[in-house]
Amino acid sequence: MTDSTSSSTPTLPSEDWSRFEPPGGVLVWIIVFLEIITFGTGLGVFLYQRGAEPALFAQGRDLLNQPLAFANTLILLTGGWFMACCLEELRRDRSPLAIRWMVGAIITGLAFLLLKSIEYTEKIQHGATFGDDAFFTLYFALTGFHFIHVLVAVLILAYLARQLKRGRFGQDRFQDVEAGGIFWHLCDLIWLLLFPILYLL
Amino acid sequence: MTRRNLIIWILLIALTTLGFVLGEHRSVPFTILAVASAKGFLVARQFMELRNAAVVWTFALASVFGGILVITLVLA
Repeated sequence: MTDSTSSSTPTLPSEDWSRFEPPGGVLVWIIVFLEIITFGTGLGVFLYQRGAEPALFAQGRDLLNQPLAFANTLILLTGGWFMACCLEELRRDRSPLAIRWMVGAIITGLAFLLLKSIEYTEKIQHGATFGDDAFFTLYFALTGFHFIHVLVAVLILAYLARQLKRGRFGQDRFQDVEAGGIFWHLCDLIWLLLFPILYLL
Repeated sequence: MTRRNLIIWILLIALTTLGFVLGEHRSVPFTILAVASAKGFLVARQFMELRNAAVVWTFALASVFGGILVITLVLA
């Protein structure tokens, strides 16, 4: 049947969806929002406790290694840039280059985990451990939870790099890589909240 | 590698350095958190490519991320 009023025909749902859907698909973005709200709640508890025990939190903040956290921020943001470059190359159907950028992102993730481990060792050697006081309990809980996120993100990227090498993704099939990238950038976003609130304020 | 992503990375590195220096000089929380919000915006819009999605996603993320920073400003 021919529609004589084609100009007023509503847009197909699939067309609407393609314009609305965020990169990587809706599901990974639900994770993004839930994670940011979870960390936001944790930071709210941290700030509330800070108000209750200002001297303890000021002392705790002074014991943290700000230059190391600064270096880690630069490393994570560089990893984010590498991942953005990876997706660009994949869209241009240049998988070998995409793999190189992704491996670069994995290396930055491992570097972050290494520096964070050095920071934890330093704290433990100075006698600051989880459960010591409110400051270090929340410091280890928040940064430890983020550490696990970066570790998971590294594993996701390692899996995606392997699949990319096997030719499972290409110019027309890369939503899983996009979703992995969104999770990777989520680690950046969370750290962009943790770094100033725990280390700088 | 596009020029745009390179510029965004340079901006992020510059903002991180600025935030670090402000923190070391015990600057007021507002400026440190303003730098953090600018970095979050750049990561979300450029690296996470929300610039290519419906604007409602940027608005929603900015509300959550910005909301946390505003609560921080109130409690700090």
